[in-house]
Amino acid sequence: MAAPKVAVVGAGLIGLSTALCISEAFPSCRLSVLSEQFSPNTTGDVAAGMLIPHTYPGTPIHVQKQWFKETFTYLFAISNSAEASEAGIHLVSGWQVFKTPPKDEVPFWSDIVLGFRPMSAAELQKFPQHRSGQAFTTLKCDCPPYLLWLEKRLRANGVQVHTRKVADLWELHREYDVVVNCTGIGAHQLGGDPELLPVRGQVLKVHAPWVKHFIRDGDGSTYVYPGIDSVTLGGTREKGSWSLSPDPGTTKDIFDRCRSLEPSLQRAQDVRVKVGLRPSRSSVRLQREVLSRGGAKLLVVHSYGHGAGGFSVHRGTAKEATRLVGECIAALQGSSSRAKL
Amino acid sequence: MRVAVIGAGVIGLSTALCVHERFHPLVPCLQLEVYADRFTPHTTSDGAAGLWQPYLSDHGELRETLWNKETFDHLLGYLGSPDAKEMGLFPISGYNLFTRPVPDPSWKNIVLGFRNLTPKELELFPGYSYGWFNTALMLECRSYLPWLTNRLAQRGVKFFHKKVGSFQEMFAQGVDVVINCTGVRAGELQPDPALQPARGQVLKVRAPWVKHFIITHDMDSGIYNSPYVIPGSELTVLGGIFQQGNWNEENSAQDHKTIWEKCCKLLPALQKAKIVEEWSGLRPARPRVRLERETLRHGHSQAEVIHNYGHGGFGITIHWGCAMAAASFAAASRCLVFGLLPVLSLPLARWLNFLRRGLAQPA
Repeated sequence: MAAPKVAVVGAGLIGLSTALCISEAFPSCRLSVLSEQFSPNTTGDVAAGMLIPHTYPGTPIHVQKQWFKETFTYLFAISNSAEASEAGIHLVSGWQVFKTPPKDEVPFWSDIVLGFRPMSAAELQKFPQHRSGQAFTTLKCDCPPYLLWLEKRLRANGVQVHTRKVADLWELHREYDVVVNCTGIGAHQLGGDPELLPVRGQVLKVHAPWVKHFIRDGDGSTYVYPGIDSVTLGGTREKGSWSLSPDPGTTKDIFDRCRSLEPSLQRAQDVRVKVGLRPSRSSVRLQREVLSRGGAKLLVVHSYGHGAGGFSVHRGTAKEATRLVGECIAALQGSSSRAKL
Repeated sequence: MRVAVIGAGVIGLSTALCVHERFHPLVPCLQLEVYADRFTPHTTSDGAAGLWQPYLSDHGELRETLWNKETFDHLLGYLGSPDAKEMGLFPISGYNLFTRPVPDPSWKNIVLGFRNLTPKELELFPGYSYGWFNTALMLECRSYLPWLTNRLAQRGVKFFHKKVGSFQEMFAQGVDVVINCTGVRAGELQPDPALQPARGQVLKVRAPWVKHFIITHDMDSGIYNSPYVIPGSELTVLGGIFQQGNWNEENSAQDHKTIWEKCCKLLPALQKAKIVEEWSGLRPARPRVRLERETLRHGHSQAEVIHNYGHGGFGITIHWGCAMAAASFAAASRCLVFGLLPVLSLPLARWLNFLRRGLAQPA
């Protein structure tokens, strides 16, 4: 059988990292990435890229922990290498603070991040409105650098990258054997998944280079995440909202909430407002599907619905999607050899 | 009542501020002056990265540990305030790395969140098998010294850009108390064989992805002779040079190479960082800080000098505690007491309390 032709649809965080994984696992396949949007216009570009997991209610915890561990380990190695600054990966320490005691005193990911421990009374004095907290060190993936770095690695591996709007996965059935659906919130337009909903997030990116620590309110709604060239202040979680327009009232509200966590932000400059739609689902849709019409078939692997947790699990789900692509390729080779008989 | 501070680095300016804050309300005729041949950004303090961290051991100098703590707590109090950015003050966390286990430092309970490094964290630093993590403070003097200067100017303190030749020169002009904050060149005013330069050199690079300080220690080659990386608000400082007895303030190509190679080995990502500045300075090294009052003859009368120098590589770390101690010595100074005579109408208890605070400090 000729080398399988695989298309990854979507060039955001999930599309690019999944394509990279596939190109590493199956170097002989002919791999293309097709996407309407590229960095800096993907959902991931809006996010801070902090490795602090979101919990998916529909996925077993041990699976989420495995995905987080794989992602953390992968990025840890990059952060420790000469490529760290180009890839936008860096360590950052900080605090998660709680006004009311958290549901899980020790979250499932506490032994994967570095140095996780409860905050001391002296440390909590900096947060007079909060009663307890956790201190730890984790990783941050700055975008665009990380997405640009992934794309560079893909091209070096001979992967073709094309700007193309795919309105229906079926339109690819003549050109490709396997299609990997990494369209994120775009999967809504491909149709058929009532479980996928946008959760709108507005953030501010500001210049405040003296802020060296992350601060996250344990309720998840307010955070200060220092990156390479800007600090991301957030945020909102508006279920079902499709609006990509920044809201000025929300901007002021985010700024006020973040300033109460970190008063020095009063002096921040260069405020840029961004909006992204988290592709939310109770669990990531990671499964195979066979599309068939009139005797023709298209093998599909879905990998979308990462919601607020994309960065934290992306390498783990990329490996799982790659495994599913492997099953598709084996199935194709199986039916191909049957056809020869 | 004239008090002259000689020196306008972090020690001189903070001591001047402390003296003025403490005495001006009680001695309205107090005239405070600052004399220096170098002002910010040309002082030793300006070149330092600005990390609050004492040496590993206080060598039994308990009062230095106390002054370090007083400084940390004083700065911590400013953290949430509107002044913090203008002061160049912000919290920072990071790593101290060793090749073998060492005792905990005297300052472990002064900083926040002090703990040992986990095995996973040590994987980041091949060649180092032991270490600490803690949250401390940065105080960048390129911002802090102008901030102190503004506060002093607002209070009417006068600045004189000149090199003072001798203490006698000050007394002859009518100065009653001299506060000697001349740092590494104190020996020019009064010989002090215990005071030596400890030359340092640093590279300042653009590496905004570095969010932690990393200080390595080689217990055999001594403090700061091992690479360190300290991220500031704009640039990251790379260093690791401590040369006792070297007075050369010129940058050395050999030291540049040493710093660059060792820091890039410690943090491979630094290879991509652009070098923006290079600077050499002389730490005013002394076995212990000289903080004491000395009475000198001046003609038929006596004049007072309060010495406050020899802070080595921990001047920023210890500055406020020393400033307060120096101001207390000034309080006990006879001249200042005479300056208080017009204030005798104050309630006796308050007056005695004021004196008691000053006399309580050991000479």
